Amino acid sequence: MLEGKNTPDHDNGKHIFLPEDLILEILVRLPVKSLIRFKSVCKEWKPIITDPNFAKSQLNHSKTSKCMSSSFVIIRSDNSMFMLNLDLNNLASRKTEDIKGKFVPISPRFNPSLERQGYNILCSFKGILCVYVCDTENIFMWNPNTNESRLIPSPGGTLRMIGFGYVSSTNDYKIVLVSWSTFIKVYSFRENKWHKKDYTSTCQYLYDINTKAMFNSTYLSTLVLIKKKFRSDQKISNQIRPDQIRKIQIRSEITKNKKQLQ
Amino acid sequence: MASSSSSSLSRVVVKSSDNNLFVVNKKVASQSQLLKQCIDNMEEKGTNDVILIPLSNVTSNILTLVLEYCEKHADFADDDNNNQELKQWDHEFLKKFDYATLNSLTMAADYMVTKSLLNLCCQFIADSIKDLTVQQIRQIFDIKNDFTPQEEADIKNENAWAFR
Repeated sequence: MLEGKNTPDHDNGKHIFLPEDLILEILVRLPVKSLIRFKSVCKEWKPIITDPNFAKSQLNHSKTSKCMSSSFVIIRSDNSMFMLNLDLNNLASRKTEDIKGKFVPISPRFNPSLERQGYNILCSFKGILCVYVCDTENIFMWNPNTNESRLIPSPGGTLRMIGFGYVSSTNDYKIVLVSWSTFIKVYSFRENKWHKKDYTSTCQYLYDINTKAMFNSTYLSTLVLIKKKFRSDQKISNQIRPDQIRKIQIRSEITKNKKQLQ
Repeated sequence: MASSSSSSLSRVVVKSSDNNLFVVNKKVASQSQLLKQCIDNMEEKGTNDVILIPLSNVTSNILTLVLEYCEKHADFADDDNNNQELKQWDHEFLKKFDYATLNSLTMAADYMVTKSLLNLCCQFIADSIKDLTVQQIRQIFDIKNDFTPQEEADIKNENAWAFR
């Protein structure tokens, strides 16, 4: 790309070896897709790229730079999963034909025979999927980019998945499950543990208005608490962080819309 | 050389690793935290002499480039960082070089603690290598492939999508 450009005549023909800290400064500025490809450059690069702290700095970089990092879409057909990689920077100029044929079949290393067992992709957030395997009732957190996964310990009991997200303040992924009685369970990726949280007895159950509930940075913002004691138009929206539940009033225009619908 | 009658220096002399001398205006030199630190230390001692700063890690070719960058950025020192003209200049400046020069420049910027140049170089290199193949990367950074063919194939198969 830059070959053949004018070269000040220093150490001609000799390569300049960059020290590891500068290599890291360059790698951290690359999009995910390039990084995954460059894992196979040499044995020195692979651990740098797969280090979780590196991933965090890379994410911060891609957020601050105006260049959008690449995103992907997972498409599930009957028997297999496919991944379509989107370069959001060039999306506008892309023709539909360019996108065709770029679906790549993927298969989770934690369970290559997933399709035979039945599975649900419960939620996704920032490139991490939360997958429920029906046969074994196991929940996995899976990064399809790196094909790394973790089996989540069983929360016990019948619980409903409502949220999955990343809490930037503690650098932790969390899963929120709700029982139909009076508690929720919050899984912390960092601690690899479930925590049971009670909430006020007047709240009968949590209801997800949108099954793609996710944390908005620190708050799980799409949960709606329904209080049984209230009439149906008095739903209370909650901005909820797994470790602190606090109520806020639902915005009036939403309430109004609901009334019109009824 | 320095005509200033106060104890502050107006110019410094910087020596490259291949023993070439560069007379540098203080404002320009201050773009490098390393040079700035040297100047501040000397001023604290109250010296009026022109000081000589030897840079044992930077050749005169690369030092010329760093100083060219510092000079331009010293002119814009009072502007905000988002000056479009300066950004354009930065880009044109780096575009001229091959990877070997860019790598040397990156190392010099790191050594001379010229943070904005370091960031600029790293971002520029990252942008220009992001679509290259693994083979091209090895060539640019002169990296020997130390994976066995099987290991390399395994990594590629795991992440097949990234290679398309």
